[in-house]
Amino acid sequence: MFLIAKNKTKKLKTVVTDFLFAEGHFERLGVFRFLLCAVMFYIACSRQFNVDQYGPDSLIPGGQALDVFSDFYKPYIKFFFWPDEFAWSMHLIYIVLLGLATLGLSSRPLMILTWVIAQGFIQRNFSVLFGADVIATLFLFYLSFTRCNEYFSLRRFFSSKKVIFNPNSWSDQLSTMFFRLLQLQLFTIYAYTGFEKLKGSTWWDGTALWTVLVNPQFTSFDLLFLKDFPIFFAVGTFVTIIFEVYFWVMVSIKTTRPLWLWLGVLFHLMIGVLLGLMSFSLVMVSTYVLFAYRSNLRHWLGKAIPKKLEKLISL
Amino acid sequence: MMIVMGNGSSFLGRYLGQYYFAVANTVGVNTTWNFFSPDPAHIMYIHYIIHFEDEYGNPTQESKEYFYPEQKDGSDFSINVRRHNYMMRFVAIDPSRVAQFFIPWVCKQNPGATKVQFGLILNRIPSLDKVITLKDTPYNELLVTEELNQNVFNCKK
Repeated sequence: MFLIAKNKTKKLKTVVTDFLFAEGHFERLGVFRFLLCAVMFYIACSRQFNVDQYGPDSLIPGGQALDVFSDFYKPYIKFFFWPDEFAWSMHLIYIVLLGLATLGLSSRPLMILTWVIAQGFIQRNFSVLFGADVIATLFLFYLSFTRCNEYFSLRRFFSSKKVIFNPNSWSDQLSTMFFRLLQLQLFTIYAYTGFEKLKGSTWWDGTALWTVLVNPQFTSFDLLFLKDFPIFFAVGTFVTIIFEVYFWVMVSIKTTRPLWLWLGVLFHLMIGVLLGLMSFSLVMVSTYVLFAYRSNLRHWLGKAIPKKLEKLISL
Repeated sequence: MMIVMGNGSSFLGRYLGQYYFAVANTVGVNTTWNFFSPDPAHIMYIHYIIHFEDEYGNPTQESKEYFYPEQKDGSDFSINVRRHNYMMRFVAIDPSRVAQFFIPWVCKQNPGATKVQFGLILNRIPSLDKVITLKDTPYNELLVTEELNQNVFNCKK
C-alpha cells in the first residue's frame, strides 16, 4: 500500500515537473512577446494624445490617484514615481521601451522597468483606461520574467550563440513557470468574464448582445436592421457565454483546442470590427500563440520570413 | 492567487486575501474581469452648464453649456477620443466622483466659473421584445431619456 502511494506520488511529481520545466517554450514566448508588445506600442502611441490626463490638468489629481481604489483593492506600492509635469516625457520613454521589447532588444530588468512604468500609468489615472491597457500590462508582467527575447528577435539576428534550455537553471525554471502562469491567467480571465456575465439579467435572458450592438457609444455601425433577425442576438449571447466559460476546458483538451482558438479569433475579430475595440481584440488573440504547437510556429514563420532574415528565428 | 482574486470580494477571497493582498493589489491581479457585465451599459453622457457669477449672484458672463464627451452619442471612434467615453463612465457610475473629481476639473478648466449645473443623461435602449412588438413605432421614440443625479455644485475658490 505504502509502495503504491509512493509510486503514485513519484509519478505525479514527474508529471508536474514535466508540465512546468520540460521545455523552454522559446518559440511561443518570442512570438507572443512580439505581438503583445507591438499592440502595446500602438496603444501607447495613440495614448500619447491623451497624456494630459496624466499631467497636472488631469481629471484625477496626482495626490488623489490612489483614492479611486477602495481599501480592498488599493495598491501597496505607488508606481508613478515621476512628477506630473514629466508625464509627457515619461510616456515617451515608455513607448521607446515598448519598441525595444517588440524588437526583442530588451532584457528581464528592462522589461520589468517597462512594466513598472505601465503599471504606474494605470495607477495614475484609472478612469482613462481601456480593458486592453489592464490586460496587456498584466501579461507584460508575467512575460518580463521569461526568456522571451530568444526567438523572433533582433537579438538573435546579431548573436551567434546557441540558445540552450537547461531545466536545472533557475533562470529557465523561472521562465517556464511564468509561461504556465501566462496560460493560467488567460484561462482565469475568460472564465471570470463568463461568470460575471451570468450575473446579468440580459445575458441570462439572451438579449445582452442587442443592448451592445445598437448602442452608438459601443459600435460605429448602424446595426438596427438586425432587429428583424432576433435569433442572431439570442444565439450570439449564449455562444459568447459558452465560449468564455468553457475556454479553459476546451483549450486544455488537445483535440478541441484548434476549434476553440479559431472560434476565439473569429469572436475577437468581430468584437474588434463591430465594437471598434481592435486593440483589445489583438491583445486577446496574441495570447493564443501560447497554445500553438512549436512545430506549427516554426513552419509558419519559416515560410513567412525571407531567407535573409532567417537568423531572427534561429535558436 | 490569480484564480481567487478574479472574485476577490468573495468569502474565499477575503479569507485567503490576507496572505497575498499586498502582492495581488500591487501587480494588478486583483482585477475583476467584467466586460459588458453584469449587463451592458445604456447610452449615457454628461450634460453640464457652467455659470459665472459675482459675489451677489449676478452673472458676469454668459453661461456655457457642454456635453461630455463632446460627441454625446460617441460617434468619434478614434482611440484617443474614446478614452473620454471611459472617463465619463467612470464618473457616471459613482455619483461621489462627480463632486470629488469632475466638478473641480471643470472649474479648473474654466477660470472664473462659480457654479456647475450637472446632469447625467441616460438614454435607455428599449428591450428587444419591445422593439419587435412595436415594430411600426420609430426606434427613436422607443428610447427613454432620463436626466439623473441633477445637482448644482459650487466651484471652490
